[in-house]
Amino acid sequence: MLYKRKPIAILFSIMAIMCLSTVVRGAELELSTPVAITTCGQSPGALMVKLIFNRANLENYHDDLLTAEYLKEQAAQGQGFKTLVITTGTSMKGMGAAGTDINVEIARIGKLIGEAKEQGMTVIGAHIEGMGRRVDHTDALSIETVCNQADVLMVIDDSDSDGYFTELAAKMEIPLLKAPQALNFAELLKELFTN
Amino acid sequence: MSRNTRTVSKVLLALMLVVVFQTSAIACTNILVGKDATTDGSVITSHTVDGRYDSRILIYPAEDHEPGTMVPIYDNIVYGDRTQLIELGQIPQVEHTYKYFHGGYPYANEHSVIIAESTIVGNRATTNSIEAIMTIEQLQELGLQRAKTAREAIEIIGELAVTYGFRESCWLGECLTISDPNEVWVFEVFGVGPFWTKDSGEPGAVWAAQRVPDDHIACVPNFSRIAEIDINDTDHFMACDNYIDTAIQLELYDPASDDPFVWRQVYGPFSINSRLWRVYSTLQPSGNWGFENLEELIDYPFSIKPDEKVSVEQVISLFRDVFDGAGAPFDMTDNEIWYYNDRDGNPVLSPLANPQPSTDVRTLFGMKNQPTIAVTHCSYYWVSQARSWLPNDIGGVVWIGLDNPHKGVFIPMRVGTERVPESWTVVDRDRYDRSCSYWAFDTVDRVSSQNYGRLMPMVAEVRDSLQNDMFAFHDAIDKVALELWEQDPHLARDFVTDYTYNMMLRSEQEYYDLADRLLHALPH
Repeated sequence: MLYKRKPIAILFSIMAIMCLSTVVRGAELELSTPVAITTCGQSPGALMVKLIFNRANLENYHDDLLTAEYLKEQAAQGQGFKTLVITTGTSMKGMGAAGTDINVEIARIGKLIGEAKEQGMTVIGAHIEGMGRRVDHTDALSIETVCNQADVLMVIDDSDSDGYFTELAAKMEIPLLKAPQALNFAELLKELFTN
Repeated sequence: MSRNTRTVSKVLLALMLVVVFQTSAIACTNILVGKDATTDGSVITSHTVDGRYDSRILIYPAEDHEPGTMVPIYDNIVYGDRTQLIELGQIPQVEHTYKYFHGGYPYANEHSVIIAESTIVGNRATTNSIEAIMTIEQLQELGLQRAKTAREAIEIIGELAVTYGFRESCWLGECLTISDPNEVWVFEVFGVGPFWTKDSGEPGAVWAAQRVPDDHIACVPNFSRIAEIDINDTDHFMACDNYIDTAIQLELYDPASDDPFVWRQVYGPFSINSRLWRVYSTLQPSGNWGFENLEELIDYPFSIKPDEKVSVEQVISLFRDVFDGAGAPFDMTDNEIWYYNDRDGNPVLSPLANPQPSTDVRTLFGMKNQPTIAVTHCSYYWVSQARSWLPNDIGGVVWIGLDNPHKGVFIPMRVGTERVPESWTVVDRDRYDRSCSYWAFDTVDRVSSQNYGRLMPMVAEVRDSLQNDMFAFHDAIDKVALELWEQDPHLARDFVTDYTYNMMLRSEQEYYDLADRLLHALPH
């Protein structure tokens, strides 16, 4: 009996996961690994994205201070990335510990996105730490710097509780990946990364 | 003081306040000494609270609580002087809580359990979950309210962190150095990653503790000090059940490797700085501790046996240390930029030379900052004694002061102390206010920094005169307090309260007077 129930249970699990996370617009979206992950503002978001990708068994490289030069070097060695995820929202402690500030971060990320576009990478702008990372001017600068140039947005419900990212995705006509909790993205990413 | 003098003072102070400089808040130093390593059998721990933290001295009495009472758990305790506390949750209260001493980092209780703190950062993978609610300062408060010994405090603090989740309040991992009249321990705690949830049933923190051998000293200068853990040696080690499993889950340790499990390398990253060298080389000169290559510090042992037994006065002296005359590259006055040539061409040290140069000065001259033990941005500091041969009211002593320990006094506050002057219970660092003791010490520091060579001797004269009086009277105060305690403990508490109260008022007044004299002596 237990044996017969198992496929049904798996089916329900998948349905539950798909209900938890959604792709708003662009259901045809296909993404490719390897993935480079960084942060604009040194909050723990990039670490969380790395753990989500690990959980989804998707090849990734995480560096909180990732540079355009590194993307260029990897591409020159035939080991270029296909997707770049940049988390937004800032941590003053994180920036202090990393010896950076929001202006330096914006300059680094600007060059990074420029190089990613040059290489034809897909840029995902992420905000997965909730409204707690949307409280001040540096948070806003981080979000605008990344999301206004992104090809895809990836946010949790709390981050979008005022509809900011939904409106932005609609305005930019780009896909919006949305989930109640950050960990819910793991199953969705498995579906979206096709290689 | 005349009205004109006051006006001039206020204008100068206002101008100086404009150039407040920013420095890293991650810079607290703890020095620990076991009971057989001290000159009198005291157990010592200590804390320089570096950064802008709540420096008010608040004494909360013991209390009984009705069954079913809940305790609010707060964020922002370290900033309690200037921000609202944020309630993160509630936990069950215990039947009875002990009297304790509260500051940005709560530090002592009526049983002479005394706790210092040092942020130790850590691997980014240990970032805490937003559901974690126990900051290190909240854990200190709960530990002091509930523990009679250092070991009890470790058990309580560790269990609360595991149950309710460790929440960073400075930057990632934290260390507490916890003493009682018999022993002193180093306790370290980290988060378990951003995806922990309180309903998961999984541990919300990872912690370990190591006892400093009774005849040893140790130092925590903002990085992890615990290395390999012998969990079967319960006399020297304690740890949570998950101390290895969490490392495996966070991919910080591979049990299949041949590598030993070295706590500080796993949860680190291990950091280095000159403060550890300074403490070890001062207390054990025979060790020939290297400093040319700071990477050598990674091999410094957890603790060392000092060449000579260590006194409270020596630890206080180390807390005032700014590496001047250290004969090592860390002395920031030993730099040619501070010298000029006299008429005969001989180099002369400028009176502007300062062992604690401001960020602006270092930027101007391209000087590298050396993290000295005494820093100008310290909020408060203390060195404690826990003495097993005296009643706790008298035997537990926190030698405490405000602002820069290089220039301030350490005032003995026994744990029997019931109250301190009101000026020591308030602080507003955004508004100059002579009804607040903090400004007495901060003004002396700021003014004397403008011309260290000319003004520091004036500071040292007042500082040393006050401090020598307090050292000289210490044994006599103990003796009288003990005689009173044997008659009635309340009499002893009143006596030690009056003594500390008066020494605080006297020190504050002498520093305000000194500040006025320094302003007059400050060259144009």
